[in-house]
Amino acid sequence: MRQGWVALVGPELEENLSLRSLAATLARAGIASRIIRFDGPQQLAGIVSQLTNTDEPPFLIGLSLAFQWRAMDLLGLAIALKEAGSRAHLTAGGHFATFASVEMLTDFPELDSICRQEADETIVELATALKEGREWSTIPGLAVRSNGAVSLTATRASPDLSTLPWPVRDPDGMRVHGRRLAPLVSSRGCYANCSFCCIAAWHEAASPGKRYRFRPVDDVADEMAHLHHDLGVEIFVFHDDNFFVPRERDNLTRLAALADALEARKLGRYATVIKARPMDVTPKVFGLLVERLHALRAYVGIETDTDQGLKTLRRGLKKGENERAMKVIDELGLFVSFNMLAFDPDTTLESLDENLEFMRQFAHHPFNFGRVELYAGTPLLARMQREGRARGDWLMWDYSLGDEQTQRVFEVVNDAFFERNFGEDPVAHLTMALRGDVAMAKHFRPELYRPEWLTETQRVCRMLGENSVIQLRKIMAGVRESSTRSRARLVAEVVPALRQAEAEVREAGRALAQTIHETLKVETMVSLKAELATPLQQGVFRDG
Amino acid sequence: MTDERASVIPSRGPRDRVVDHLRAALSVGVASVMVTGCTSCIVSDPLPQPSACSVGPVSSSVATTLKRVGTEVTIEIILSGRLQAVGPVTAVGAPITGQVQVSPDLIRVTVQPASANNIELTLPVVCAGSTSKVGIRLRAVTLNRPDAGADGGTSTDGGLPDDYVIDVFDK
Repeated sequence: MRQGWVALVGPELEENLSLRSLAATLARAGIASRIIRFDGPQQLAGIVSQLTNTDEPPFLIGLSLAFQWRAMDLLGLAIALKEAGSRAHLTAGGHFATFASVEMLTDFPELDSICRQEADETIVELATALKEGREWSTIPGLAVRSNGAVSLTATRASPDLSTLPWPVRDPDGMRVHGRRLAPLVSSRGCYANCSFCCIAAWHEAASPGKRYRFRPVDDVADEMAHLHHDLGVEIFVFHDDNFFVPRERDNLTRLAALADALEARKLGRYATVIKARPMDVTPKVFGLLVERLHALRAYVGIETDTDQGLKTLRRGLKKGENERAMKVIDELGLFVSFNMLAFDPDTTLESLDENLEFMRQFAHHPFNFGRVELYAGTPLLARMQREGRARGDWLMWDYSLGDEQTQRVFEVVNDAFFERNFGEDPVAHLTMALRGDVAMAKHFRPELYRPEWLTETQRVCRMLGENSVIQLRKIMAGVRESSTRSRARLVAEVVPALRQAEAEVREAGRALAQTIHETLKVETMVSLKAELATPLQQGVFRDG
Repeated sequence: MTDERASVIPSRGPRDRVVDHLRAALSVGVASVMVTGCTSCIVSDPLPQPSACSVGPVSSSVATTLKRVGTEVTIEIILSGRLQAVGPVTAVGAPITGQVQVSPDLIRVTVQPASANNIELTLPVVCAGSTSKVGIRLRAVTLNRPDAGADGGTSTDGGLPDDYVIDVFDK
């Protein structure tokens, strides 16, 4: 039997829980593995060299293909590894790899297999079979190539979460304001069925009828206590698909049990970060979160606030739920941010305007907005394919909105707002970072915190958010007025006001961040973002 | 219903596009995605950007200006929206004598034409992870000037054109 090791390759902007969970199950089986960080294509050549120019190359390389937008990098790496002579078994896993497994294995012969759905057990069986030189192509949970065709082996049921080891941790970890944070999950799956999300389909396929599973509360508390006492973690970022269940009573019971368990384990000062759907946000549940689980921040999935959008996106909410949830959070003074999927296949100018009104109403919070995308495995992609409206191929789908005028608005918005919402250093993220700096100060350094910092942050957020709404409405008016005015002209009409507002927001945001830095003597999240410009961003080719 | 509105439907298959992306990454380093580290990981829930440069031809996000000084022609290429350059400009029809990326969205290229031929520049770009090429054609214009001398204005001074008209197109 060969010894050797398994390379687990994927993004690690923060500790990658998927890869680190697999590393843990491999370690428990006595199989060595290493996490290979791959955050962008500029790292590609180095990773190829690391995995091939070595006396002891890995015998199995696993590529983390959870995110469709990173597929070009990961699939490019697969090609580059084989071209460089790698003889390792190449597998991929994650949401995108699972839902596109047939197409991926068909188009990329460099891949030997795909680990479908939750791969905690599949990866161990695959690695063990490869180590021992045994047949691997019948292992449950795989997509494999045989006789020129792709086939799926038996579906593997989702693992019992109480049996899984805790993710392997990075000894250095990530820090914010000098305080270590750790991502973790207390559950897998989600009770909702949003049309743009593949989570429901993912869990339904592996365990029909069992859409979400929880870890035992004591297991979660034990892991948090270990992270806190042994690694100094003070901020716990819950990356559950959905941290909550549909019933308030059940949420209260579970969260109170977790708070009791943490108190029994004598955790000192700590904070939690969670994600919620609007219907999860009730005064009792969020009051408990703030009081007993020291919630620092909640991401609330607003997505849309129109009857049309709620129906298209299958949000399972009634109009008014979003506003109610935001008001509960405002009452508690909790740091919240949200995203709006302002454009979807059925958006009209009227429904877009309704969403803009919601954005205006809650512009004192940081938010971002964009278009709903068509991702593999989602009901929305299936619908658009049925209707003949999905363009492109499995690697990247695109579509036009059904309403021609709204599509024109989207085209202008996509150009004009790209820098603000999605650029290399988007100012929409700066407002989130600034709000985070203020929340960190209030939570961990109350003796130094000044309430006017929050007032100023809300002013800065409003500057940006209200400017977005005004300029979006200007674009809508321009499209309504003239069907012939070019996209370039419509973009040009709003860009100066957008860039000017962004400059003002940056200046005000950085000034406040500097004050926080000088008061707390910590590196703020705003300043970290500003210092990240690299030669690559600034242009790599010069004269000649 | 088939959607027939203008859009950039990938003309090359998934594998071809991944290979293009790989070559770009290995040759010059793709600037589109940077390693940011976890600068705001407790505060940022990134909203995915629209999947494609989908709203029209890539070239519609490119603007140009042209300036002539002596025998040199300087073209400024301005990228807007989601487009980023991923490699140097190449030229056919005249040698490139200078090329500077002034900023992420501005590239200044100087060429020295020696004839009245058209000049064609090619700029590799990336948008939403998809690499492609933008062509910039400088069409030579010879004015029919009344004071042009013996040839009646049908040829150019020094063998060079009087002016250029610029076409920007997807390659």
